[in-house]
Amino acid sequence: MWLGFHFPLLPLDAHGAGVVETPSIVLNRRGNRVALANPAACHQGIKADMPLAQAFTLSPELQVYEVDPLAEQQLLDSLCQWLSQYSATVCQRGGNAIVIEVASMCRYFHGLATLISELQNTIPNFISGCDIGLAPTPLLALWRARSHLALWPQEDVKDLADLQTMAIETWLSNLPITAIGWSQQEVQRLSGLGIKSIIYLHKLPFSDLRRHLGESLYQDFGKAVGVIKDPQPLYVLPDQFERHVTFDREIEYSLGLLFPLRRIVEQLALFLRRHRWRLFDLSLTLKLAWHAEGQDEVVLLLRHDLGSDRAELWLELAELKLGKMLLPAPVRELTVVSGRWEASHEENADLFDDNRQRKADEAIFLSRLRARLGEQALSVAHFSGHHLPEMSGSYVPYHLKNSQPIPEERPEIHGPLLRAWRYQRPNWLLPQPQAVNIAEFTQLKVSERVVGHWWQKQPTETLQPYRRDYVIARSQDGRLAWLFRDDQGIWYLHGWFG
Amino acid sequence: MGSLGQLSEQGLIWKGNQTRSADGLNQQIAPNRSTGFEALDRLLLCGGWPESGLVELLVPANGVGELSLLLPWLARTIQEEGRKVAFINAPLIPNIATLVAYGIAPQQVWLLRAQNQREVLWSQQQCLQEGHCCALFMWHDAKTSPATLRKLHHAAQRGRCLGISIRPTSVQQSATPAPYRLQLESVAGQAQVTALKRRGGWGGESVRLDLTAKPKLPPLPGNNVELRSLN
Repeated sequence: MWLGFHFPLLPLDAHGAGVVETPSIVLNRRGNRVALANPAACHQGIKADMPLAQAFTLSPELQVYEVDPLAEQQLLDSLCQWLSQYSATVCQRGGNAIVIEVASMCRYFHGLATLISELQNTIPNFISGCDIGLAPTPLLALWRARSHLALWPQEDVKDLADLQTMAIETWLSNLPITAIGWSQQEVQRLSGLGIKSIIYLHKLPFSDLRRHLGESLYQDFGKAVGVIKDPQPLYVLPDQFERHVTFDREIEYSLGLLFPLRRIVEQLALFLRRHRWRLFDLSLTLKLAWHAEGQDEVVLLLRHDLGSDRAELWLELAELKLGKMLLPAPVRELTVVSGRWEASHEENADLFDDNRQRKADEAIFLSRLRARLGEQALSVAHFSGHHLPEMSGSYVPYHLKNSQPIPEERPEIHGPLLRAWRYQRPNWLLPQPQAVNIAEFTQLKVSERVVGHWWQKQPTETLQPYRRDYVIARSQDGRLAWLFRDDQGIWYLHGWFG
Repeated sequence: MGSLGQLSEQGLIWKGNQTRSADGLNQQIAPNRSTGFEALDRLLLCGGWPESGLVELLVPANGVGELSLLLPWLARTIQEEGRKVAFINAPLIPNIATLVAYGIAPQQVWLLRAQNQREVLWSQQQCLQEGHCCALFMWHDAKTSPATLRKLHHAAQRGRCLGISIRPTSVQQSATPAPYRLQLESVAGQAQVTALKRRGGWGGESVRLDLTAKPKLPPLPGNNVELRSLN
């Protein structure tokens, strides 16, 4: 048993214009007539095949879009991903339809009615609606979907087994020949023969059908009634999420990118949930309208340390990142590519342990900070226990914190050192030691002598000068300073004890 | 009288002989953690640094003692609660060796650099209100408006965070929404802390602290410091 899904407004949904209040249309390939109009445009009297000039007369504020096969295919892929949670057999049919096999899934979902009800409740936001039909063959399911008939012919029948044994004539009854997607010419020809409904075809001897219908329609009809085999190409989930959008107008403000991005991120979340992945990096490439500030495109990288499949989180990070940036030039194209991922694991929640939740909240908080302020803005302390002040600890950018070496455990050395450092080392350090006039300080106490790595022939800049004699001194305004004298006898201020 | 009682219960009436705890209710003794300096605990009238809200420290220059005053409290709070301490656009670098020597694990310390004033205030508000930090060190100049400080104070209360606003002494005559304003200066080799504004009492009282003396500190983790556990 198959469920067929027909998405009548898919070309408009590919532009995000399916359910908007602005009248919107998609042009035909020649660009002179209306191919498809959204409900707002239909409300103003615009119909398919109407000349563009006439459509503008009816609605001057009409939004016009061109057919975008790539965007439609990407949208159809996302819809396949949505439907793959309800069936293992998902197949694309043409440019705007999908069929799924459901008989094997009814037991899992506790019945066909529950399955269809769940399915209807989870129709994604990025699609404006779909027609659904049920039938024993994929093509017939699609025909029933396009015909806007009831899901199955006899509504009092609820059991799947009864539906499976229902005669094919019952499934074909009331199915108009005009709504199944055959061309206007063929429909007129068949009408001329007195064939107004598909059921009439079924009543004809099958051997005569090829003569009446021609090879193509004969094959179609044979597949629909199950006489001719109809193998379905299975939809396979890709390993990477990639979406490319070419805007029909240039986007001048960074936050304007959020509108197309919202739909893409919703599709991304669907993709991740189907894979049961959590994503750590997401890259946005903004193709600029012209070469500006030495670049043709701007690449933004969004990161979340714990990984997530939530659309709201990725959208929030994108908003924080885009909110503070000034575009060097208007944006024409946007490409979104998923980066590093890991399989997500279901975890048992402990009622009394809020530590895990706290860590998750903290990771989201840090991702927000990094998205808004930049990757280099947030640093965490790293302690090495080295005796040289410049090397005893450092602040490393958050995203590099895991690349720091774990210091060697030397408790017999570091224990006494740390106790001594409470009083000998200052609370604040200057970014760089600053040469001072010692006469401005009153020396109180000799603190320690620090000697650099004498075994290194060419010490790094941070270790110079080699030998420092540190003293604790009081400045003229009463503050306690940490000074040192180098080998040349020059005094430097290195920190304050306050 | 009934309405007055209601207002009092809601913590909207300040009584001179009472202090107010974090939950907004007037209480005789607020359960605050000690500053590590007995004289300072007495000066603050609430037994220690408040758990949340804004505290203004007016300093003549950086490094006069603003971190020393907080370090014992900070070490104990971080060890007990496991939350972070953050420094946003610090003019000097907090010395990790000293922080570790006081028992603060390095991964509990965040250093933030924001590009402009708008980003600085945004990050301050986020750190205060999200509840991941137990203390946040901020530097505000004389131009920072009371409205901004009030927002930060409310954010700190929401996130149960102590916001330490370090400002120049020139602002001591201007109004502040922070419940505590302390002036810190070095006098005769000691740090003099003057309470210009405090909850539960009049301002003007001073104490002198020897910041180089051994404060009441929590023990270092274990007898021997295990660096692996610190990083």
